[in-house]
Amino acid sequence: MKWITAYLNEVGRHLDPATSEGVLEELRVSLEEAARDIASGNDPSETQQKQAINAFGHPMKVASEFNGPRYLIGPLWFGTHLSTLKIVTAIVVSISIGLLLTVYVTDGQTTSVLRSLTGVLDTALTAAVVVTIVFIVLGASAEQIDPYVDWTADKLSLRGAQPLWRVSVGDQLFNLASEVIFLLWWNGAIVFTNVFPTLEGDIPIALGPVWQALYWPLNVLVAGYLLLHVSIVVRCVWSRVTLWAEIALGLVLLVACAWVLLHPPLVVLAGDASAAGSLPHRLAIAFVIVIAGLTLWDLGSAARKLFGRDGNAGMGTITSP
Amino acid sequence: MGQPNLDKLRQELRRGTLVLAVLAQLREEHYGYSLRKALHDHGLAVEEGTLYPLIRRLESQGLLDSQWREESNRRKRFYHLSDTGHAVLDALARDWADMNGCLKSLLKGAGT
Repeated sequence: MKWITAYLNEVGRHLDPATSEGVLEELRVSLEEAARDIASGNDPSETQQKQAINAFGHPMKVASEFNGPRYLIGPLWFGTHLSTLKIVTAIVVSISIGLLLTVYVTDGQTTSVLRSLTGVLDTALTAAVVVTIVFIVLGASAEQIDPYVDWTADKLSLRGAQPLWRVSVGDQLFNLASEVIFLLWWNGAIVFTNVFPTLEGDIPIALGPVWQALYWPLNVLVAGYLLLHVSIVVRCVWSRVTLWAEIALGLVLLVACAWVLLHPPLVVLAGDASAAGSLPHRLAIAFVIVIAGLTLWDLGSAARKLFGRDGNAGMGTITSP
Repeated sequence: MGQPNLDKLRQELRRGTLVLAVLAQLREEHYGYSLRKALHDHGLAVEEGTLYPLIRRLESQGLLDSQWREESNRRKRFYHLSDTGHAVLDALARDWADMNGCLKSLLKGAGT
């Protein structure tokens, strides 16, 4: 019965070698008897052999049933592994891109885009492999020590009874990217085009004198935001402390925006600025107002979470009665 | 509810009861294929890919004893309930009766 032999060889390839011999012998008896039953007691034809084989199913599936569940990390750690992988990869990629930009701008070092991307990908993959290895070890240790057997409610902390304010990782990664780019630009590590295009030609523009007084305050403020958002992305939830920090930083930023708006001009045009009129200045005002609006939105969102008026059930809020 | 979901739920429902059915059937000695046929004759169709690994697991748990023997010029592995298996079967059968009573009460009026 060559089809049955071929099938059993396939199953055997995926079986645990320690038990495969006995399993295959037992399966052969069953397959051959099933094929004979299909052939009404006669020698089964090739088609009849295949019919019996079809009732067993895919060789790998059959073998996996005998082998039982086998995991590299296990269902217990899977969710944590996945979220850690996302966070670590995102942070590593952000830092790599930030460093690449800094090196390009400060040292004038030029590398092809493909090579740069390959470098970033290489770093991200290395980080992912390291995280995965850590979780494999964790999974294997947890299986051995079985910490869940001894668990009781005494091990809970009442600090965990506060509402669970989930974080939108996408929003926070956007914040992180914006803050890194701002700090690089604000400190001269990267340069954007500083001309304003008009029909008469490009007019060089620069920030107004008002910004000079804000050099260090904005550095401290945005670095504070950066640290706050990194800690939020790592923890994946807001806490009372981080919400209050978001509100405090937001208020300071609003004050800074108001102060800037009260001290025009925000931008200075070189040469005869009349050709461009006051458009660049108005655009700068609009930009500051947009930043203030976004800050106000974040501030309100944090306040609603803290004071319980946020309809954030969709954000996964869990509250005690 | 879509058919694939129903099939999956049926499969889950049967998976739990299959152990009891196999233990009950193995009060008499059977080899794999004869056990499958016996279950089939009682109206319980079981896939081979599910049945044989299950028998192996039950044996490794000490609920079954097995023996390789020649029959009709073929070496076959015969299984039957061990002493532990008998005790477990009795306990599971009592649990099943209790559960069956509960489910009957729960399903009353469910249009079944």
